[in-house]
Parts: sequence; structure tokens; C-alpha cells
Amino acid sequence: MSSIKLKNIKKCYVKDTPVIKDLNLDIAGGEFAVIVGPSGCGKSTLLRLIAGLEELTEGEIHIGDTRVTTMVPKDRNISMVFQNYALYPQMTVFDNMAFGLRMRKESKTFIKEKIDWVSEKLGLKEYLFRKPKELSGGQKQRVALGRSIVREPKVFLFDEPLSNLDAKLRIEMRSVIKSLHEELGTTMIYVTHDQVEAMTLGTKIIALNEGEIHQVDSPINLYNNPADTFVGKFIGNPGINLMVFNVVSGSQIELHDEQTRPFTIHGKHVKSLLKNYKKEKLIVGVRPEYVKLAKPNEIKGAIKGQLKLIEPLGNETLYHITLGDVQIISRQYYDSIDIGSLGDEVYFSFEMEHLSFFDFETKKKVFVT
Amino acid sequence: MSIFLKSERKNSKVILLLISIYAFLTLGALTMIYPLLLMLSGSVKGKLDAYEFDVVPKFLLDDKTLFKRYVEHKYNEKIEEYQVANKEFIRIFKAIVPPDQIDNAKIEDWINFQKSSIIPAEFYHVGNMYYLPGEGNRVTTRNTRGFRNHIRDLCSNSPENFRKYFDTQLPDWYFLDLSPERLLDRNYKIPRTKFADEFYKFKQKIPIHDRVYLSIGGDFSRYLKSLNDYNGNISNFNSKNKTDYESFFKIPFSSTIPSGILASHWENYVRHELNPQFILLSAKGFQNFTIYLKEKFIEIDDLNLEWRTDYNSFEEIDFIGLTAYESNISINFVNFIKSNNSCPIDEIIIKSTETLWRDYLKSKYYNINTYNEKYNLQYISFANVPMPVKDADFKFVIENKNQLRWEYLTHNYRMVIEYLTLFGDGLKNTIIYCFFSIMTALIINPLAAYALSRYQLSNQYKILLFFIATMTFPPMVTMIPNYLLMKDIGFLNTFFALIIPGMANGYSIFLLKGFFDSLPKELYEAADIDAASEYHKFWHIAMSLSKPILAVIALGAFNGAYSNFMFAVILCPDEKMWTMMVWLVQMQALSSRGAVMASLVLSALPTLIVFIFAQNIILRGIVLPVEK
Repeated sequence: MSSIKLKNIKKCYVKDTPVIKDLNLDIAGGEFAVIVGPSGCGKSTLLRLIAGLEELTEGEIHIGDTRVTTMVPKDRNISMVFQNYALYPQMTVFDNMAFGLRMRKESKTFIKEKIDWVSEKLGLKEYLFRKPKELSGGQKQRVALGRSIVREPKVFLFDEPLSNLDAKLRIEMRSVIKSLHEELGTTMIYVTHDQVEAMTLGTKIIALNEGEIHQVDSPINLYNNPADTFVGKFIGNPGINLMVFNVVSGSQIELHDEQTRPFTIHGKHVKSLLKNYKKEKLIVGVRPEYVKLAKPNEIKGAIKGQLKLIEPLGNETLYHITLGDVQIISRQYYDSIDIGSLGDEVYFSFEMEHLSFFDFETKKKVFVT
Repeated sequence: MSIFLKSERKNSKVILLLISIYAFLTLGALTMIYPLLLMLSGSVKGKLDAYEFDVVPKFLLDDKTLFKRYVEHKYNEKIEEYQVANKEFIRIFKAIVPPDQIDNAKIEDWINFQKSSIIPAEFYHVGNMYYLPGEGNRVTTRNTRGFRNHIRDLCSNSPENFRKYFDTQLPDWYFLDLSPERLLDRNYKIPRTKFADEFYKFKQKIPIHDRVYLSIGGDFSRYLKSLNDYNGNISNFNSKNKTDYESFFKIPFSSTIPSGILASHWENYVRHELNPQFILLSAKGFQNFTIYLKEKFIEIDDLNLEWRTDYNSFEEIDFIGLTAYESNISINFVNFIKSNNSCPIDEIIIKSTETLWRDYLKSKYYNINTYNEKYNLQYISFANVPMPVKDADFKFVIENKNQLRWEYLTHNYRMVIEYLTLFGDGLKNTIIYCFFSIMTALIINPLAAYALSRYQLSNQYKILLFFIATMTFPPMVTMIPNYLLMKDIGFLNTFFALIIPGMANGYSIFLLKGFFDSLPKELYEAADIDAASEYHKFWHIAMSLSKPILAVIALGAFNGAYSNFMFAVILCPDEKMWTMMVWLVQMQALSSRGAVMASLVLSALPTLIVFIFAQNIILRGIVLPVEK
């Protein structure tokens, strides 16, 4: 149960083009932290920095009470699971798991005990003397997990461990990892680009983009209160709908479109919002499930748009609507309501209490005071 | 993936194309296999059929060819010896016509004669014996080997003993020196040395069928043929002497001077051409010889002084069996028979295997007619009955077909193996050289490649370029600098000189680096996290995953070392350090074509075996063992 502390860390592969920019992060002991972000955001680099596989350019890393900044990986007491498993192909499952212990000069009986314990836990008992190439993808990943568990390190690092598996296995392995965390209670850092994995596994999610942390929060908060447009767009599938509104007066904003009459939002919360916001434009975000569809004039003040695409997903249906050059997606949980067919005009409105507002320039959330 | 889709294969043009592709491939395969088969069949051939390009040697299928090969070996590849022994004029062994059928009873007589009579060893040559392995590009035959083993056993396989015993230097067992005998030659005398004595001991023990009998009649025919008067043409002889002989070899030779036209030729031949060992004297002639000696020496003591003998009187002197040897008696004897004054021609009697054979027949049948009747022949007298050597040879071949075939199939190989094992340390040196070449190639190259692959050295590109640049120099270019370097260090004639220059190889390093690069980086990282040391990462990850490519490199190192000739002979000129290849090249310079082929086949075997057993690994060398 070791905490991890990253202080002002910076990493440049090429001089003066940092991949990680001045990053600070605290992960408490026993937490399951998920680093999520699009490809190339530096999340794997961050993990490798923690593992010691990459050298820091600046900053400090602490694991528990130890400063590990300059330590080599083997001294950091961590273990890592790789995306492509990185099993030693010429060794049996047993040898793969025993390798780390042997390198640490553990006794034979100790190694055997440990491997028995791990293989029991991961259901690998009958595969112990097979070579990796005789195993399926899921089994290989379980061996990779076993290899890191067997040493009982202070911190587990996972580098997109499930992305090589098919969808079904991924769900299965997800629960394996989750239950492992509950059982062992060890600090785990998990890197993924899959926000579903992040949401389901993590007790703490770190949203990372272009080497910067955008938000660190619990999964629910991350979804409901995105700190900026990036998090809003990245979390949730599909992401948040974003629209640029003009600030008309101290208490009114409007979405102006040349062809239709302007859609205005006004009221108390807008007024309090605009108290501290003095810019001309404002970004309004709304999650698809809060976009309500309606027939003309069914709702007062509904906006008129054009239906572009309908995606039925079984339990829900996604409606893609265009409003000038703005794209809005609506998620409906009812069996396809009869809105009309493609190209028809539709009317929609937002649930006002679920709107999020973002600064037009900084893209950061504007809080209602 | 196939070049053509299944649907395309039904098209007639595609079928035609496919057929022609297969035809070309088959042709290509044949052009590769045919020379190999020729090499294999060439390796069992002898002088007789060396230049026949048949894949299955004829002597394996055909008894007549086998007979020709047998005769060629028996007469030591000397057609003259065959002509003389068989009284038959043949230019080459290939042209010999084997007898149609064998009269067993007739040959029985001949064999019984050989067994029951005492035929002096000086009367025949040893067949199946080439006196020197190099002589006339021949192979080691049975009796050469037999004699060599006889001498080796005598000296307990120690060259030192040989030197002490025979008082001559021994270059090598293989090159045991013995000049061939020319017992028909008047000037040839058997030397009085211990070595010649041993040879005669050996000669007496050889099997009957290996004896090459010397027919004086045959030699006489050759003498007549060589005379200027007849110019080698029998018709000249016939017209001058009004005879009608078919060939010179049909002219009879009697043991005493014949009457008529042959008398003068006979006298000249016997007095001036024939080796004196075949000449006996009548009782009168013997007295004449004693008188001749008395006149020459006057006192017996003078004779004893010169001859180093201890006779009490001239009457005691007995020359029988001594005239074949180097001695004063034979010099005096030769001078004695030259002149008609001291030795009238009537007193000369010829004794040879032939005359012994005729005496044997005479004592058995008394009358030539009895003999003629028994075998349905038409000889005028016993003097005309030849030795049935050819029939006996043919009978022997037919009775011993399989042994002979086996002998001819193997004797070239046997010679090569003997050469390599009797000689120096060729085999040992090659094994040591190959072993260390492989070991160093498997340690040095991977270490360099690992360093280049794992660590980003500041001048990595230049270092790699330097390694690759070494590939651009052909070995001939580096040979002399290499030699000079090794000489300066003082490594010449040591294994270091052979092994060190070839230890690191630019191509291998390049190949291995590429291979190490292709291994997933995560394996090293996983090992890093597993606390593996650099040694473990090198050995358990890089090396153990590169086995196929290491096999390719090991094979290359083996091949390089095994087939290395030029470099090996330049860097290690001392015979003690010669490798097998150097010995083989040396051997090829003085061996028959068949032996050269056999040495090629034998030297190709190890490489072939390695390839057959390692082909799976080598072919896998291209596939990356990446676990995905």
C-alpha cells in the first residue's frame, strides 16, 4: 500500500519538446488510478517514467516514502504488465513467472509456493509447463499478470494490457483485474485509451492530453463535471455536444444561426454565470442523453434542426442532428420515437439543469457561482 | 501464396506456362545433380574408365569391364607387362578381349603347377602394387598397402625404428619408397639391402594370382619388334625370313638356341638383352665359366678379396640364384656370356617360369599329343605351349566378382582415408580449428551486435558502417596484410593465426544486430523489471531467442573454417599445422582422378551432414520468433 507522488516532472525525448510538461500527481496507497487519454498524449511515457524504464528530464518521483527518481526499475519494487504481454517465448509459463524471483535469488521452495498460489488464483495450474505460444491471448495476459503478482510488489503498472484482446475477453479480464485489486489492495496504475475501461476499473481517473493533466477525479465526477471541453469530449461515448453561444446581454446567451431564429438561454443561472464572465462568446456543453427530441411545437422554444443519421444500438438510439455547421447528437432510451426520416426537420431542446459552460478561450469550465 | 488463382489454372496458356516452368526447374535440377553424380561415380573409377561419363560405372554391371579393370590393376597399369606376360599385342587395357570361355581343367594344371613347383621370386613381379602413390597418378593398391603394413609392423610403427633398422630416413609411411623392379632388364640388379630383403620376404608371401610372370618369349617378341630391320612390322619380318607369322608375339622362343633363321636373333637377345638371372649353363658351360674366372683372377684369394667371399677353390663357385642380385659375380657372369670365345652359345640354357611350366607339362603328359588330345589343342611341341595367364586371370575375376567390385568401389576412398590418418594431424587440426571458429563466432559477433542493438552509442552509425565496410574487401585483399600482422605478432603456425582473423565478421554482426533489433523491446524491459542482469538479458533473451540465426552463423563459421585452404596454408605453412584441406590438395596433386573425386566426396560429407541435420533450424533463421 504505497502512495505515489510525482512532483513537477518533465520528460523530453528531443530537447525542448516536452512530452510531459510539468506534471504533478498524487496517488494514494491502494488506489486504482487509471491514466486515460488519446494516443500520443504521453500516458505510456508517464507510466514508463514511474517504472523507471525512461529517465526523467526534470522533477521527482516518490513511491511510498522512497525517492525513486534515479533508481533502476528493479530497485523500485514495482511490476509491469505490457500490452503485448512480453512473455519470454522460450520459457514455460512456470519459468516465466519464476524468472523475476530467480533473479532475486529466492529459494526454490519459496518460488514453487508462490507460483502455486498465483496460478491457483489466475486459473493457470494446468498450463504451467506450456510455452507461451501454446496459449491463447487471454491466457498469455493472465500469465503476464501472474508474473507481476508473484513478486508482490508495492505498485502494479499496467500498460494497456487489454487492448490486444477481443471484446469479450476484455470484459472477462477486466473483472479479473478488478477483483485482483480488491483482493490484494495494492496500488495500481493502469494506462488505457479506452474510456470504458477507465470508467469501470478506476477509483481515480487521470485524464491526460498532450502531456498535461486535464482532470483528476472519480469516474462519476469526470463524466458529470468535466473540467474542460477535452475531458467532456473524451469521456463518454459519444462525447459531450459543444456549441458556441453568443453572449447577448447580462442574462441571455443565444445560439445564432442565420437560417433559423436564434435559440436563447436565459434565466437566473445564466445571470449568475455571466457575472464573472466578460467575454463575447461562451461554449455550452450538453451530454447527448440530455438532448430531448420533439415534434414541431411540442416543446416551447424548441430548436429546429435537420436529421442526418440514426444509429439504433438496441437499448438506445443515437440521432445525429445538424444545426447549420454544428453537429448535435441525441441519445434516446425509448424504442425509436417517430421523429421522421433522414433529412426531415426535427425539433430538440436541452435539459437546462444539465448544461455545462466552458470558457471560449481557455476551454475550461466556467463555474456558476 | 500461389502465383495463379485456381480459376486461372484452367486457362490453356497458364497450363502451358506452368508446364514450361516445371520443365525448366527440372532441367535446372538435373544440371545440378548430374555433375554431383559424375563426381560420385568418378570416385570409384580407375585409370581405365576415368574419362567415361557414365553415372553408373560399367565395371559394376559388366564382368568384361571388371576383368579389364582387374588386369589393369594386376599389371600395375603397365601395358608392356601385360604384353610380355600374355604374349599378346594390345595398345591399351581397354582393348583387351576377355576369353570367351574358361577351360577349368587347363587352368587346374596351371594352378597345380604354380603350387607344386618352386618358382623363384626373382622370376615374377608383384601385381596390384604401385610402388609410389604419386607415380603416374595412381592409387594405393592392395599389395602396396600390404607391404607398407609389413614394414610398419616390422618397425612397430615407429619411424625411429625404421631409421635404425634400414639406415635410411623415412619421409612418411605413406611415401614408403621402393622403386619398381625391372627384372627383365639386363641392367637391373636386385639391391643387396635390408629393405630389398624385406621386400622379397613379402613377395614370397603374396597370393599366387597376384604374381606377374615374366615371359621370356614375350620379351623376345618385343625385342624382335623393336629391331630396326623390321621396323615393328611383322610383314617385313615375314618377307625377309620367308615365314608367315601373324604377329611378333606368335614367334616361339625355345630354351636352347633354335635352328634356322631365328638363331642369330636368339643369340643376340640372350647374350646382350636378357637379364642374366634367366641364363643357365650346361655342365660344359659351367666348366668354361670356372676357366674364365681362373684366367681372370689366377689365384682364388684374389677372387675372394674382390668378391668378399671365402671359396677354397674355383670349383666351389656356384652362381645359381645369385645372378639376379647386385654382386661381382653377376658382373663377371655378364661379361662371360657376352663373348662366344669364353661361352659358346650351345652351352646356354634359358630357365624361366615358362620353361618350368613346360617341364611340368612334359613330366605330366610325356607327349604333346596326349596334352593336345585332352584339351583339344594343336601344339607342335611343349615349347609352344604358353602360360594360360589370361584364362587364369579371367577365372579368378569370375570367381571373385563381388570382392573385386567391392575393392574397386572402396579403394579410392580407402586411399584418401589412409592418407589423412597416416599423415600428420590433418583431422585433429581441422576439428580443433572448426570447433574454435564456431565458438568464437558465436561469442564475439553476438556481443558486438548486442552492444550495437541495445545501447545507443554516440557514433553507432559509423561503427556499424565500419563493420559493414569490412564486407566489401574480398579475402584475397586482406590475406597479405593479415599474414604480415600474424607474422609480426608471432602467431604463424599456431591456431591463433587461423582463428583470430576470422573471429569477428562484419556480416554476422550486421545480421545479428538486425535480429536483436527485431526482438520486442518489452522483453528487455520486462527483464529489467524482473531484476535481470545484463548477462541474463544477453544470454536468456537475446541469445536464446536467436538460435536460428546463431545456427546460420555457426554453419557459416564451420564452412569457412572447414573449406579454408588458401588462408590455412599461408598462415600455417608448417606441416604439423596443416588442416585436412591442405593435406587433400597436396594429395590431389599426386593421385589418380578417381582418388581426387573420392577426396572431394569425402570432404563434402561433413558439410552435407551438418546441413541435413540443421536444415530446419537454418530455414527458421529467417522467421522472427516474436510472440504476439
